[in-house]
Amino acid sequence: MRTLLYTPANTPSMMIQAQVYGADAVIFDLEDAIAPDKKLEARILLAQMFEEWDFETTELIVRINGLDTPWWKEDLIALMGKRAFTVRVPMIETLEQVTLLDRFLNDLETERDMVVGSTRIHILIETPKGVVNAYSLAGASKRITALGFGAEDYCRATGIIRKGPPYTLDYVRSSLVNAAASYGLECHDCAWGFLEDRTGLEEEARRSRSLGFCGKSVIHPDQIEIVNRVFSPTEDEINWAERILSSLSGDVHTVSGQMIDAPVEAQARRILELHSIYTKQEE
Amino acid sequence: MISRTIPDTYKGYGDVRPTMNQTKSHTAQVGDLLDEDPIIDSLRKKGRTPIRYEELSQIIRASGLADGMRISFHHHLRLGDRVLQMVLEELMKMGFKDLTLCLSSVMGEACKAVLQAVETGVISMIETTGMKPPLSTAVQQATLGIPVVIRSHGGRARALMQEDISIQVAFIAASACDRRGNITGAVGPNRFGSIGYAIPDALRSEYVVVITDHEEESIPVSIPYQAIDGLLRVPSIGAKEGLSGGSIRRTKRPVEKLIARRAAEVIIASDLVRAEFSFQVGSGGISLEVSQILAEYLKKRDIKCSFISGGITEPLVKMHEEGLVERLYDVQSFDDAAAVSLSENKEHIEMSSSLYADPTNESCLAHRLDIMVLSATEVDLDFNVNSFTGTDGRILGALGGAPDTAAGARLTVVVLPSFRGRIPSICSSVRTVCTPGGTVDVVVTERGIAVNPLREDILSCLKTAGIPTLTMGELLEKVLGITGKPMSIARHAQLQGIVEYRDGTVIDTF
Repeated sequence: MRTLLYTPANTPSMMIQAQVYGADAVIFDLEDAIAPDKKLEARILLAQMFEEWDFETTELIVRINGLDTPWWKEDLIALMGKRAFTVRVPMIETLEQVTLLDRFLNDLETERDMVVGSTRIHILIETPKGVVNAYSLAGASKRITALGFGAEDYCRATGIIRKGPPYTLDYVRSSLVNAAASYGLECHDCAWGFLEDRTGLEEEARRSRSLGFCGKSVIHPDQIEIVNRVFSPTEDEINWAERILSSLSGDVHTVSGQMIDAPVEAQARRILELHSIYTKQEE
Repeated sequence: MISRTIPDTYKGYGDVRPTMNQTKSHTAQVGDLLDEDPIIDSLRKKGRTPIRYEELSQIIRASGLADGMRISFHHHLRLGDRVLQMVLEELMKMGFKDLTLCLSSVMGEACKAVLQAVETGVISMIETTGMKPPLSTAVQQATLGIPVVIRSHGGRARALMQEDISIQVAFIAASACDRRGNITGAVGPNRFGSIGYAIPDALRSEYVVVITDHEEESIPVSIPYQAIDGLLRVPSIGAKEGLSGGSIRRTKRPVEKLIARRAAEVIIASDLVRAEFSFQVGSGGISLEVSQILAEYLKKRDIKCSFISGGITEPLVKMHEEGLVERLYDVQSFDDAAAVSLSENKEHIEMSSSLYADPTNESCLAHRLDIMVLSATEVDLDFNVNSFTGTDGRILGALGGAPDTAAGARLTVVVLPSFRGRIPSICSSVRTVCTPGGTVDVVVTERGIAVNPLREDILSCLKTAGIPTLTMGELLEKVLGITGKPMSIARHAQLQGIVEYRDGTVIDTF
């Protein structure tokens, strides 16, 4: 997924439009976007929407409240079984937290006649401790399909300036990409909160892609086009991949001076596969 | 199909001819673009000599105005207009009755003044392109009960030029005059730019009154002194800060930006964006956004547009200054940047509403447009467009030049969100037909794009470009799936007004 659009789960006018902007997934947010006294109404609204709304092919994600809050269980109780969605859980630091969530989902799935293990999880790593434990966390449950990076809390905890030099977050980003890749998971970069700074968004997205992220969370529809573009294979990459694959049938072992071996072939196939997926989505 | 029940006659208006199904009036550009509106020369030939007056009452007395006659005004001062109010108050004081008020449009404070003039019996009939509350609200209350005729800008110009209607006194606001009495709207402390809607009035009225608040030695001439009978200097014609009020701004709404992006994709896919093409964007943030996407496209492809016409805004001026557009034909300047450009740039040309959109004017620029982007309140299964009332019948907007440019442009694209609040904008039959579906080619919403089945060529272009389309029926079904099917709202028992099509037939009532 290249773009994951955050949408407050208590604003119907935004919720019903979230699927039209071309994001690869919509994240309905029950956490930071919803004030404590609005949590209940947001849950009710989202549950009703899950029952009645035609999301067509949109990939649905719900960011539930943190496992250290009194709300996360109620979030899942309200929504589980209404329709398939991925649970995005914030501020994950320990294996115990993943186990706690995993068991709770097991119980709910059993109680509601769902296939046990069918609910997927994205874990958000937003703290120094979470980064250190990223490798173990990524493998802590078969439900986990992606790791996500939350930069704001991480910067607050470490003293890194969020809009400082671009390299300042390279270490954490590389750590998360490596942990995710160890288990074949997707890795999603953090949202860019500076809405007017489109150049900054593009620069950050390019850096994330170069570090191995497959996509980025976005907080406004205006950010989707930029992020989709940055995380889609470029024309040069597609041409390169096609040249590599077309050379396989002959005796040629190099293309433009590059040696072709199994990893190069796999990379070329992946580029064309992603290009095909994104082109179909955009149609 | 337009399919409306139209009365045989209408009070104060006379016999009514219903509009039949309409098709395109596009004519390709032949020869060079005009450097000056030919009507200006006709104005010079009127041979009048303006007389200066000290008091408004004196000039009104000199005009020969009598009860039951028609007076006209233009709305280039927009929300800042104080001239209409000033004149109506004087007419009330002087005891005039039963006048017909013929406006290019009316908005802001001036609406209150018109309402007061109606309530006191000074005005007994209104002809306009649009109106706003409290006037519109009162018109729709059965108690007011005066006849109202809604015309497009081109339709109004045609009615004047063809002498379907005769004006006794045209009151024209000018931001500056010179010693001889030539006038303009392009310079002076309350400059508002083009005076285009008032030019046919200046030509066809029995008596032309100019009200200005500024005199300069040398000014650009919009209306020559030979067309003016009386001139009055007042302390102020308006409030400058209101001049761009109610005008268009680039949208920040994500849905509107999405619609604009899709509309631009449709336009580009249509293969009409090539050297020397022309276009116009209507009022509304989506339309303006489309123009800005097109500007980027023109830059990248090094394509130059021959002209943009209609209402001119700062972003369109910028396109011209960047060399993307050869000429701007301006009937109304929506902001100060456009007014300044009009006074300083010889390729920014003032045009009358007749040159702009009059279907009987052989040089009509609306008929030479390649692309027109229009906003709307509703569109129906037959592609009929409503831009005047809401689904509930309330007057919300104005006809503007929509029926004229839709008919004239080679490609007419209507842009609108598929629903507003919980009310669908796509419907089986629009509340008020303003622009007939036979002149509309593509409807672009955030939920899908529908192409008029009459335009197989466009459909084929979009297919080639990989742009998915829906039938209007499919789009309607999709929208109703979101909003539910609204209950229909009963129409007022009493006829509130008629909507005249640009050719003088009546297309609908409200």
